Amino acid sequence: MTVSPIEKYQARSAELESLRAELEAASRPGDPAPVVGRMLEAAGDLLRRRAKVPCDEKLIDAALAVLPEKGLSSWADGVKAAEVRARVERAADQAVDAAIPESDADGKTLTTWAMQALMARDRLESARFSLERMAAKGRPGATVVLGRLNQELAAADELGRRCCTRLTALNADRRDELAILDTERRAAAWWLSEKSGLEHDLVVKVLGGEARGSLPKGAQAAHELVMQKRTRQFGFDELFRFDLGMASNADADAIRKAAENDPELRLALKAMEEGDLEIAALTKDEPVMKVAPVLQLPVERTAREAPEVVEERTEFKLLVFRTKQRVQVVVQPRRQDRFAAAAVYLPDQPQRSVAHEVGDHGLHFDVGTAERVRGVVAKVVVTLTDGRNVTSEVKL
Amino acid sequence: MLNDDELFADISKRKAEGRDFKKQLGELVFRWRDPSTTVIRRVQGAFMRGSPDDVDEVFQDAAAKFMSRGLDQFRGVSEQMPGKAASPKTFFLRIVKHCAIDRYRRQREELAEGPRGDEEDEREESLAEANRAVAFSAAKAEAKEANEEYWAAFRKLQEEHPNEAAAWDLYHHQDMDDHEEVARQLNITVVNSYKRVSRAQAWLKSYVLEARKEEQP
Repeated sequence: MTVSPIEKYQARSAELESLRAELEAASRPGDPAPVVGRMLEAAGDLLRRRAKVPCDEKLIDAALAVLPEKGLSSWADGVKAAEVRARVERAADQAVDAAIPESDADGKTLTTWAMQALMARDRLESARFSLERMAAKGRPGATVVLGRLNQELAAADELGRRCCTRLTALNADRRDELAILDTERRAAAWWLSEKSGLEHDLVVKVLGGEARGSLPKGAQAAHELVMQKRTRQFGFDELFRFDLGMASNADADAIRKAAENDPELRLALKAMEEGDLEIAALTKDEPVMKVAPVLQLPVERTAREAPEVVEERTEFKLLVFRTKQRVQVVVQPRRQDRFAAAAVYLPDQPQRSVAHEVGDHGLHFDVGTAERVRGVVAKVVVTLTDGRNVTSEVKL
Repeated sequence: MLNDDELFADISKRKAEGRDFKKQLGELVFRWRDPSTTVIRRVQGAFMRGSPDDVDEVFQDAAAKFMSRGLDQFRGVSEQMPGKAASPKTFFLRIVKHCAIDRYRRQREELAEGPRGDEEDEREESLAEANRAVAFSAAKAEAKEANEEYWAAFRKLQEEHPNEAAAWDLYHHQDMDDHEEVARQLNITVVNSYKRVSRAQAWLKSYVLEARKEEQP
């Protein structure tokens, strides 16, 4: 059963009551951060949609009043605006897939996924809005957290909103969400409102040559630049990888083919061979080192190694770690008392879960090399202690 | 005195621990200066260009590349393709070879583009000729910039969406213009080829737009 956006927000009042009861229960074990986060989101969702989803504001304020300072600060420590921005960018990427899918059915699924990723930014805005309300009512912890979050979001949004052109592929769904939002909140919600007019609906399809239509001036200039006929240039990096046998088959073929018609490239390949002969002569008596010494670097991770948060629930968090070599799906239990087990299935072995190891972030399922699993949809099944299964799909 | 392998192991250890290793790396590559010179001369011979004065610059360029990227790359290469870079020295000499190739390719490109303004005859020009020359030069610079902008977008596409990049490369850069042929080469269906090329276009144009926004916020 599909829940409409408005039904989703109508359910927030009951959710808020339930979360409040959970926080007030003395027996509740562990870090309250996940519940705090969900409560901030639920309250903000309602506060930002007062016209379409009326709710007793006293109920909201009463719920926010029970948020413990410690839980608030613990929740804030876990919030990374940059991660949310990465999800928006992921949504923008999926939006192109959704606009130009392999099949119509894929298009619908991809749109759903893209909207799920995009709404991560909206939920954070709701949490931020709740903090504003708490700060206005004199909660010092909320003021501190709000100040930091505002600063981080300003930087993340500046980068994130550059991908709005791609988000136009989700315009029908974005407009549905926007219509429920209070009028005065719409402009700030750029992820829903920017370029959401009907005139932008076909931009991605037109950019991809899938539909005819006019483009705005900037997009027209980009179109002309990309469509200009060009022969691929192979510079230092491409030739170096090719020489070492590290180029992809497609790149290696492209270099060989280009050399057929390009005397300059042929000359470079010839020089590579000449250089090889010299290197072979110079090193023929050298002992062969079989494996290079381990070079562990950087403690700090590159942006691509930062995990993508696919799903975040009270009981667990679902993450994807992508490096150039491997892709790992990680299920991170958040409520040990509610989390029982997890399994990850790939389409080529739908009956057998990928093996896992307990790692730094939770249960690590190594699904293979980035090249092998790109575009594959993995099914993640998490079993809770009450016997319920929560199933998610992750596009790798 | 440490031998090459021991010194390289020391550099690796320092790097892993986040300690400075520039001095050690400098010492190591200096030991390979003579063979580097031999490799550079061989490349010069292939291109029929270059002078002894170039050797220093090419060597320094190679040392800088080895320091900034080569050390990490070497491990990957030696694990996956052990025969291609059996030792740090062989790997470094390959970098030297490619730095020399890159240098002489660029020189040939510049020659093909013709003399620069400051190298032209100091003949007297009319105002109209001078204006034409300025306009031509500006147009050339703009075209070069646009070209770089395009290839930056294509590199991003290769990184983010390699399947679409491969299809676009065949269809657009290699002048295939035929989805059946692209499909055959990539072992996919014609529909796949069509969709991949379309998505590639959409992403490339979006990347160009986004990069322009970055430059002009």
